[in-house]
Parts: sequence; C-alpha cells; structure tokens
Amino acid sequence: MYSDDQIWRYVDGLMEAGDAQRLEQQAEADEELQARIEQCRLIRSEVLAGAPEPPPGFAAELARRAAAAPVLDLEEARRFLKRVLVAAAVLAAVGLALLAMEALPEILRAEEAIADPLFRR
Amino acid sequence: MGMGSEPSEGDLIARVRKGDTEAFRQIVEKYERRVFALLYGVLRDAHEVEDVAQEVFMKVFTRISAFDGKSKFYTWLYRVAVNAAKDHRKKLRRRPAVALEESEPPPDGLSGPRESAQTAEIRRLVRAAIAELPEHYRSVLALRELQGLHYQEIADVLRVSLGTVESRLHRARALLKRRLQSHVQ
Repeated sequence: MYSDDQIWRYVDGLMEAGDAQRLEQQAEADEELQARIEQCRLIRSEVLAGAPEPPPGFAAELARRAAAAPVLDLEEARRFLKRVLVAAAVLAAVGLALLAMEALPEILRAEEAIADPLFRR
Repeated sequence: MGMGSEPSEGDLIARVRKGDTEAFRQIVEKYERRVFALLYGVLRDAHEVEDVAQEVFMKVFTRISAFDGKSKFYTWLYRVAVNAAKDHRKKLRRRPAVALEESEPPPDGLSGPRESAQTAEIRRLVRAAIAELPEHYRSVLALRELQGLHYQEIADVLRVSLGTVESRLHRARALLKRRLQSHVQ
C-alpha cells in the first residue's frame, strides 16, 4: 500500500527509477492506486491552469513606463545614509563638548561650595 | 534581429542596473508568462494578475540594486512576485472576494465540448479547493508547479526552511485531497 507522500514523490518525479517502475507495475493491476495517481496529476495540472496570458505589448509598455520611473540606487542610498550618520555623530560630539565646556564653571563652583565648611554645616 | 548571439541574463541585468529600458523589456519578455502564472497560482483571480504583474516588474526595474547576485535572478524575481501578491491580497481583504464562477474560463484547451461533464466538474472542484487553501499553501504549490522548482529553491524564494516547504506542501496536498473526497462523497 503506497502512502500519499510516496505517490506525490512519484508524480513529482522524485522517486528512484526502480521504485517508480514497481509503482507503475502495481498501478497497472490496481485501479485504486491508478485513481490516486490520476488525482495527484489532476491537482498538479490545475494549480496553474487558467492563468491569463500577458497581453500583447506588455513588455514594451512596461519599458516605456520604466523610462520615466525613478530608479532606487541602493548603493548610493547606503552611501548617503552613511554620510548623514557620520555628520550627525560629529555634530552630536561637538554639541556635547560645547555643553560640557559651558557647564564646567558651574561644576567647579559646585565642587567648591561642597568643599566649604559652612555648606557642610 | 542582430547577427550576434543573444545577450546573457547577467548582461541584461547589468544593463538594467544602469537604467537600460531595452534590457528591461527583454527581461520582462523572458519572464512575463511565468510571473503571470505564479501570480495566478497565488491570487486565483485572473482579473487581478495583470495589475500585480505590472507592479512586480516595475519593482524589479526600480529596485534592481537590491538584487545582490548571490542567488539566481528568478529566485529574487519570484520572491518579489509572491510578496506583491501577498500585499495585494491584504489590500483586497477589505473587499468581498470574487466568486469563482465569475472567473474567466480556463484557456488550456482541455475544457471544451469534448470534455465530459464529469471531468469538467472534477476540474471545477479542484480549482475551487485550491482557491480555498490558505495563501501560504497556494504559494508553495504554485512555485512547485511553476517550473518544477526544487524544494530548496522554493525555500529560497519564500525565505523559509526546507522543512517548512516540505510540511506546507504535504499539508496543502492533504487538505486538497480531503476537500475533494468530501465533495465526491
């Protein structure tokens, strides 16, 4: 008795030649097996059956449209993004440095105040 | 037609990267039928296929730089197509589904006056059962039947593991079989 998977392997052409031959021989004498094989073949043939044909001039029309379409150059986009990120990182570093410079006198004053014995009391 | 040999796919892709629309036209011509078939396999609605196919190929042109060349071009193209079909389905969920009877009749030459009513009915049932499958099952089935893609290639297109492809294919087929048997009985 063949399993459905074995029959599908046969229909898909994935079965070893010897096994496929044995299955064919058995199917000649076994109507049920024959019917199961036919059912698999029918399913296969119907998966893509009924697909419409491309209309005449489909490729030429798309080529015309493509002439006006903006092309996304991924490499160029990647380079641009890299430049933007580097610029953002530099700006952030400069900004942080400026903030630190501006805050430095405050920090020093605060340290002095903390060190003052009056403050401790 | 020129006297020289046809440009290779690699050459065409390199030219598309530079914005060559003639190379793009040749790529579309090479793959249009397969993309239409794949989209139909996932969407199961012939009316929607052309619009989504246009979207797929325009994405290919405008985002060709996203194709790194490590995988085969068709693997990348089919991924773009399956993702576009999924996005399209999401948009359509707000709208009522197209009834199967409204779909175009199959242009496969198999269903005609010579075909028995019983065979036509079985085919109709198979198509209805496929249309009822969850989308991720239909995607695997369509990719499998598209060019007889190997399981590993399907896994690459869908960015899932080999085991997931195998189990989806197994479940999809088991579901189809169950549905068909329940209809027949």
